[in-house]
Amino acid sequence: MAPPVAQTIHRDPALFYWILLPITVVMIFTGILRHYAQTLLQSGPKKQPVRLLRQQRSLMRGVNLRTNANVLSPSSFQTRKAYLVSAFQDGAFLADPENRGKPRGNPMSDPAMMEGMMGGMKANVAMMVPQTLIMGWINAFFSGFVISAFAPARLVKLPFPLTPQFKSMLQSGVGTRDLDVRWVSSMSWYFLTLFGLQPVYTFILGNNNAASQVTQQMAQMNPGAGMMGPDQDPDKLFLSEAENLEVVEHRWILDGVEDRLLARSK
Amino acid sequence: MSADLLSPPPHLPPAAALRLSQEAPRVLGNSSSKSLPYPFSLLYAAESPETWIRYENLLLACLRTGDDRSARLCLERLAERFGDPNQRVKALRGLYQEAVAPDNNALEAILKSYEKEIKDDPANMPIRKRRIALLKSMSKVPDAIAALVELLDVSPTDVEAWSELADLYLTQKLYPQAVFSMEEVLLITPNAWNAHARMGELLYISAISTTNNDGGTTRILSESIKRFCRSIELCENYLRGYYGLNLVESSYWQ
Repeated sequence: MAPPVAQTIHRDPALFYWILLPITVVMIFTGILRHYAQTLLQSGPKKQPVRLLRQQRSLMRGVNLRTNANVLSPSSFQTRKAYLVSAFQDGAFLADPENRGKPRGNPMSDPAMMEGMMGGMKANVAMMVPQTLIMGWINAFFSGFVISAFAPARLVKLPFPLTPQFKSMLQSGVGTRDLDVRWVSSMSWYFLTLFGLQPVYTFILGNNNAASQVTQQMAQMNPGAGMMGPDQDPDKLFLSEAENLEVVEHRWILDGVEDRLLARSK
Repeated sequence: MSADLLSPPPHLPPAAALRLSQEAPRVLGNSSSKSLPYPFSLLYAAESPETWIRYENLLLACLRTGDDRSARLCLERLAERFGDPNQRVKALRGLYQEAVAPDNNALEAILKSYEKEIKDDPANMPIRKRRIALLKSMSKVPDAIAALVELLDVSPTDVEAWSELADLYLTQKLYPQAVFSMEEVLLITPNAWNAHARMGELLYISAISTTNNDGGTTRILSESIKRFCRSIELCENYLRGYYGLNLVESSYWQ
């Protein structure tokens, strides 16, 4: 294998000002724009109807009773358990007792559900539209040259050496194998700024900005990880909670607390 | 005790409240005067949640010290920012109106307006709580208890409401109900030593004020001792727990 030849590509220094800076600046401004678009599109936290609130919090009460049962004396625990178990089994806390046992309808037909979906869609659109536009713009203006006329002058050189594994990351849109990895194509520069500008946004917009892509994608990974997911049947949740309550082994933490206290103060 | 506007302790001594409310001219004066022209103001996020917490605490402190004018200003700022239909702003406005109400008729009118609000939006927790507080301060305790029970049916995980209910039941000498409410408080905050001590106090009061057969009283007193012990176990230098323990022990052996 021949030793690598030092590649000298003559490029116009003005390209720095006409490609690198514009891409970076445009990326920063779209980030800021996206942040404000997101803020405008955001619908405020939705009001929950009282019945849903009651259903959710009653379930929470059951969970609380199960996890913190040891603060209660045995008699009051038994009373509470009997009451909650029978109420859970009868569906006394359900938001709509008539629909009990029926399969859930199509989520599309429920307007409240639609609203939730629209919220997610809006956030997605606000993210996707500028991304597509900018990518098209960069493709049209900056990277056409690299591929058709093979003008590596469109490239920017990094000031440090890199291993060949970075080739796919840094030279997307460049069809040569032998080009030194240190050259970065404009397309790749776009991707790098796309993911790497988070600290800049934090500096400009403060901590809770909506400009970053990465946090958006993270948020989409687990939408609504709450225990009352929209697709879960609340009746089933209540029944399983009733079962959990039935089998709780109750131990009163106040049993022998005097001895523990005396032993500790010795 | 140092108290600042951002996180004042829940029970502010009068002197500290006065000191807080004296900061009003400074806080109300320095904001909204300097803001950058339009394109730059987008780049510079001036407001933070802390700003508005500060306003809210200042409002409360001003109402306590009778500085109604500053309180009004705080309220206007909050309403301007969050809009009048905001639940919390509504509750604060109600609080302000209660504070400046001249006589009982005005209070009745405010109570009516609260009831209308609740009918429009039953999930409006801040207003529901204001209504209960107003009922309590107008010494309509049974009404307040009924309203609280209704609230707790909707939201049974509300610690504040449960402990308030325990206090109200205690004023009506309904000890088993008070103990039940306190047990709910403990279920939600199982490691709160003050809640355990409060439970001990409730049990003690109920034991010494009922004159039934001897066995029941002894049982309640011994549970009261256990509760105080638990509160000391959770927090070693909780003086109220020690004092309560001493009190109950001495009456236990009589």
